[in-house]
Amino acid sequence: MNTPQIAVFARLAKENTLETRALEGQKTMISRTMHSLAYDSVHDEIVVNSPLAQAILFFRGGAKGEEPPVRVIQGPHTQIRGTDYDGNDKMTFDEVHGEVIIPINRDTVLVFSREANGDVAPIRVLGGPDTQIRGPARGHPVVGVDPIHDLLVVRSVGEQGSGGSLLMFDRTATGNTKPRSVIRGPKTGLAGAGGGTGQLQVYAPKGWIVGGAEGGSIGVWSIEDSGDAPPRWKIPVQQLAGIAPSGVAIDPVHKEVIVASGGRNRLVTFYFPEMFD
Amino acid sequence: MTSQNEYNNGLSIDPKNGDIYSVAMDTADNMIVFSHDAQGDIPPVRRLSTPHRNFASAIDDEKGEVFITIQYPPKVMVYRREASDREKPLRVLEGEHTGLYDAHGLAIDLKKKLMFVGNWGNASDYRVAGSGKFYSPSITVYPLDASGDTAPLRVIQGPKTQLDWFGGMSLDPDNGNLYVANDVGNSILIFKETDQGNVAPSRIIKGPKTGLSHPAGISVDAKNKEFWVSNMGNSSATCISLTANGDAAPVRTIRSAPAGRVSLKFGKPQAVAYDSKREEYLVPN
Repeated sequence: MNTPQIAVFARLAKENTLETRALEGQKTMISRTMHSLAYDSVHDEIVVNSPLAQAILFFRGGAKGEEPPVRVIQGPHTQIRGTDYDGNDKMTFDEVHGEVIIPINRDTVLVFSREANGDVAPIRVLGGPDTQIRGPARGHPVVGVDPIHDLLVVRSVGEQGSGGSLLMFDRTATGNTKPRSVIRGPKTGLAGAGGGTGQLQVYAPKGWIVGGAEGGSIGVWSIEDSGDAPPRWKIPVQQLAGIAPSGVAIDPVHKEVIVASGGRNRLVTFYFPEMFD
Repeated sequence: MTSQNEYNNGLSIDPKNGDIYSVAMDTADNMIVFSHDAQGDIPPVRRLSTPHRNFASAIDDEKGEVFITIQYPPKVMVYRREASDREKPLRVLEGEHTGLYDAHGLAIDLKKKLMFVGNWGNASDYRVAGSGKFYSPSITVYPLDASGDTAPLRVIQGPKTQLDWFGGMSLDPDNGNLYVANDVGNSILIFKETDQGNVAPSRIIKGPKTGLSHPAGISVDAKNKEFWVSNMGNSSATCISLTANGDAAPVRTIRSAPAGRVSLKFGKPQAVAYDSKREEYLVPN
């Protein structure tokens, strides 16, 4: 077993290197099932769901120990809703526009200001049949954001929970809005409900979408792609490292892609300059 | 691999025949049972599927029942002791009046017919948007045969309790004292069986001599007047006198790592973020 924590490791940590600090304990309000989180480099904050309590927590970037969050979004006006299996476990963060983006209820995306605190309503709600947003049976779709090209990217699962699509919306889309473009089809390599990562990253300067792909890979698609477009690159993580990706982050300065694997209890880093040059 | 042992977080021993019951959360969602003398990579004698996020178990050997806590949606499942495969529970304690919020540890008192459940306080009804709340941690006490949406008989809760992400709980059958592995508090809290409300523990075992480091599991050995604690923070099991108090050294220690070694506590990381300012990885368990 393990208790929930947000452990912090030096970038060059490897093997059994201990964390430099950890956030844990009752006062932190974090809970298990944290399947995504983000770092806001503009405001130096950590943003994470509290999945079992339908909440979003904001911590100081250097928070450690049993430190409470600086802000909490929670309450009836938020409309935040989880599932019995995943709680509310997904999010992404737009540090340029200061917005936290949360998929809920399998088919809806809520957007809050990062300055929101307490029982506040979302500033935008995207959802409805025309959006084509669909999450797995007991979970949520996965979201990413491109603040430069003003795009919201949603990974939606297919009809039977397999296959899937990348839906691209105007970043500020609301209501029952159709996506601007859709990447979908057998060549796309998009993993289905069980094979993808719980995080989707967008390297906005180049318009690359980075997320889970079939075969235990990390795939890279372009925001310019549509239809049955194959990934521009694939990192065959399963083949190279023997682990299935469950989360992904990017480090543009060092041109690295970081992959978390819950199943194998591992974090691996790939040097991948092609994507960043 | 044959043993199917993975991600196990709650162990119980059947006092009647010594069978070993292991609940495994998340990746397995089951309870597997081994005979007392089992060793090596052998299959369990039976396997019971449970809801997602099971945590602790307890055995009523008088009635032949096994109790299992489910963290979220919070509930206590009660099965036949011999239940296997997809057998349904005999009864379930669950509902808005139960006071169950992110249920964890579990202890039962067969003399006074009571059930104690530890709650971390993370609450929401997944069917109701915006229903999330944070409560302070609590120990809720029920009749042993409670089922449905039954309110607790009493609740131990409040800042005096010092409860902090506590894990296992175990009861001394001779006097009803409740021993609590207070994980993030790095302590063992001992409550009286009749405690309720915002009450301080009658004893607290804590300090550098104790060897406690993120104590997660606990089991009272009434016969030898000792209790055992599993420490996630230093990969050890410490045996402590039942009457210990304060910064008391353990009677014995079993270690699977060199003394002083700190455990990574890195468990099933599903996500990662990069802190570009500090050049650090943020990894949630």
